[in-house]
Amino acid sequence: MKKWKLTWPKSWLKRRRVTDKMTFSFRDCTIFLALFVASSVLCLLLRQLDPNNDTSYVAVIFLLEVFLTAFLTDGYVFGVLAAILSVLAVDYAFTAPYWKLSFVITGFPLTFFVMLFISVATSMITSRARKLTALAREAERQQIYANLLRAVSHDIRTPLTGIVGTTNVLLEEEGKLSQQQRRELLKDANEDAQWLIRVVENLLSITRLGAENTRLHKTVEAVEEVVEGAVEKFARRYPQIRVRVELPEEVLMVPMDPLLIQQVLTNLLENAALHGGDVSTVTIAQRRSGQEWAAITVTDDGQGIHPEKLDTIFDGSASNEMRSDTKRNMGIGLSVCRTVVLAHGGRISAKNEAGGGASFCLELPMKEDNHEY
Amino acid sequence: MNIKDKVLIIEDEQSISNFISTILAANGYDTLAVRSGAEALAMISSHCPDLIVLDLGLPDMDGMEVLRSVRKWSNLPVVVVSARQHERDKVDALDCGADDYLVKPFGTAELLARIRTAIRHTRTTLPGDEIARSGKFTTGELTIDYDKHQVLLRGENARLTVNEYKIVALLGKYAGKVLTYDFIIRELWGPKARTDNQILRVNMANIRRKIEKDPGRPEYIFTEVGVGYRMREGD
Repeated sequence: MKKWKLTWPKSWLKRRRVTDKMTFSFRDCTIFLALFVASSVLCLLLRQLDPNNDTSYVAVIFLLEVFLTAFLTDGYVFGVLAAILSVLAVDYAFTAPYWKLSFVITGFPLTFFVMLFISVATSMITSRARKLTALAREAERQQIYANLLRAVSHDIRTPLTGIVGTTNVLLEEEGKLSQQQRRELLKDANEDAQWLIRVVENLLSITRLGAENTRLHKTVEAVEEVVEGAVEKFARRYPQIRVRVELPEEVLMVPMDPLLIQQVLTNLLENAALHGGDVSTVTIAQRRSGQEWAAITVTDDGQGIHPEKLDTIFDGSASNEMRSDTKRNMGIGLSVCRTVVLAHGGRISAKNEAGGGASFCLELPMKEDNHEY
Repeated sequence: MNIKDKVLIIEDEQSISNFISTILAANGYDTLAVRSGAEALAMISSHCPDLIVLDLGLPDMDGMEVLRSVRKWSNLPVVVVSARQHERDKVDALDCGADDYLVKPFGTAELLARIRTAIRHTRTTLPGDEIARSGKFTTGELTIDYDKHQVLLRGENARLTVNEYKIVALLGKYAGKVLTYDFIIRELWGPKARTDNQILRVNMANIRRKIEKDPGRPEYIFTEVGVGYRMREGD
């Protein structure tokens, strides 16, 4: 379903904020002027059509105009301006004597105060609603971070224990160990350290996502080049697994933070290698999906995802259900995937293939969107 | 007696410096190690190393300053090793004249390969003597014929367009080195070209479809995401 959306030039959206109640932007200014002109024109038209010269609709139309202005703009400035201007307009153009400011029409002060009241009240309610949405968003973000943190501390502690343990043995029992044993221990420590590197790479991705309210630094990248990097890294770490890369005829150019998306792909590939169960081939395909989306799928020929885990696989909470001493969990990896993809305004999903094996699909919007909130 | 290449390691972290030193010594290099920028500058002028391994995070100054001051008077190869993984840092270092950039943590095999490439390049002086002598650059089944302005794949013309040929030719001249997007655009379309590098990306995608057996897993031209492209070393 396509949502109708007006896009504004970016500079118009820039808000000059004096205080919370006094903000100014060209977007708001345009809304204010357009509404005012529209209601004036409407009143003039109605007057042409109406032979009885009944002006009761004028106040109602301008009341609506004031309400809409206050509702659609930020802060109080334009709502109040609309109220003042409307009262003057009603006086000047739409009540007898026409085209003259009289200040004597009956109820002039009353009209003015009603309009002012409506504008201030609407602005207040609107800005409160916005604050609530922002709070809800922040709470959601906190939840994601908390999940990540839980997964991370587990993912770091396990390999660290291994490294400290094995190196302690090597230092303290040096004389008693055979060449073979020493080699084994060193190999374990090295593997644990490699694991830590992966965890840290994911952590770095999170810091790249930045503090609240900063936007991603996106550049337009060719999807195939980002895939190339992830595949190359994966092939070096897991030489025993075959990787097939499927390319479309056309180059897919997508605005993204390339290192973050590369991290997502690396995580998905490694997830297949570590949790796929007997994976021999991983296929990574890219295609256009509809007019506005680019889709990248990572499919393996392993045993698929346990149906119970399908729903929560990206939550980072999946690790809680597993035995807590297992190193092989991708709690942080997959939740980083989701966090990154959501930050790009994209979607990520997992499913099992009919012939066995798991398939992860991430979709990214091919156009930069301008929405602000 | 063999004369060995001398490598100066500028790294303040003892354990990293130690392991680089050990692996280089085991592979036939002479090594010197210093832990600060000031020491490094003194050692470079007094010992004339053949290559520098430079960490960017030094206690007394930024490694970039060392790089800039070396580049004022010398082309001696510099391989940067750094924990800074942002593309911007890589591009800055490469544009300042670093020969290569490795992000920590890196594997020893990778470090050795990059060092070999960097030293080879100074011997043959960029752009390669080999190209100057034979008019050709060859790697695997790919040959760039600079005299005929053609790229050959297993002896057959790959039918590149003029722009595509220019890109491949440039990468071939600097094979083994990462060329940043800006550098490639400047070299091909002049300093006034718009910095938008999308045309370059699309060209590269087409080149890959023409010269790579499996364009999704290239073997000749590699992408350094967010930074630029690198051509495989010549044979």
